Amino acid sequence: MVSLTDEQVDFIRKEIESHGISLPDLQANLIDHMCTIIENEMSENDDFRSFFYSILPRFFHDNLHEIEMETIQLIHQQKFKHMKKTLSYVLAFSTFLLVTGSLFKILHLAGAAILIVSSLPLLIVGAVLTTLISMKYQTIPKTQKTLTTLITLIVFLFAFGGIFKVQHWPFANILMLLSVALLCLAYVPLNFVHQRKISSDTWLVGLNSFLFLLAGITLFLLFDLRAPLFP
Amino acid sequence: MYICPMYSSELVKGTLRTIVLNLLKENGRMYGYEITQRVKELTDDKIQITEGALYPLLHALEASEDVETEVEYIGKRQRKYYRLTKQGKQTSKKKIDELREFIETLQILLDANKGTSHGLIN
Repeated sequence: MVSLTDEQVDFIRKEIESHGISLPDLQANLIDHMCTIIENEMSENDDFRSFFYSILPRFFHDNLHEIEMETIQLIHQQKFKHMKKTLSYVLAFSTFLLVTGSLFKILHLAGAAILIVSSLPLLIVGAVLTTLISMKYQTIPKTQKTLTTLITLIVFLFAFGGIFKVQHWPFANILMLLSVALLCLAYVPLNFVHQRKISSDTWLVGLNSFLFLLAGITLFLLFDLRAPLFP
Repeated sequence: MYICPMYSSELVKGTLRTIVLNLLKENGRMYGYEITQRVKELTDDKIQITEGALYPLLHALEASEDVETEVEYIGKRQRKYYRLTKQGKQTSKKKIDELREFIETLQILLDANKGTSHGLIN
């Protein structure tokens, strides 16, 4: 069994780095694994570098970097599971508050308004975060991710605007107007262009965009534009 | 995922996690190279775990807190030993039971098909 020198270990480290392995833990594991293979399988007559390059392909199909990619993907999946679990608790708790608040309201019990108003932001933030996290960790096309993120933001602004409006808090109008403006001026045109690219049914794509635009215009018309936008 | 001189990769796909968890349960603490060698040894080279499949899994198990690590230095290089955590022991038991049950169910299914085909021939 041969024993590797510090220079040879450094050489392996540099080779692993140059092949795109940047995670320190993964680097350490691969260095140790390669060193152990060499120490156990290389004879004293073998040339170190030639032997190293002969064992390197054992670690990958196309290139060494794929190990790092797969590691990151698996760790992300793990984080995604944890986040989804936490968010499901938030959503369950806020739903519980909302249902309890509604029951209190029906029974004319005190505290109904507090329960309902405190449950709604939790519910909205929980739903928005679940959508955004799903977007981040799932392999879906970039344009689809952008569109879903945009519509999530619009729903978030509109829902919060609604809560502010009910509570007579400032900035309710600006939040709701901003959401409607984003819907009509950003989401509808972007979605139309995207759908035109992926769908052959132009008529259906046009109708879909028209309905979205109609919803936006209707919401816009419901605003009292004479009311001040800022308090 | 695997180099399987004897079995197709489809056949053993999905069992790597259970194999690694079971090895850690049986052997206490192990490092990457040791795991690959132990699998080769136990299966007479019929199943060989590739490094490309093993390390992403070990890192994911660490992220999910099913395993914990200890680092030892051999000269300038680090050797990471993996050991099951309390949660990992439960996960390991769950995964092993699940796989055993699956094998038993598969056995029933294969035996039932055997009976049916005999019936048809007779």
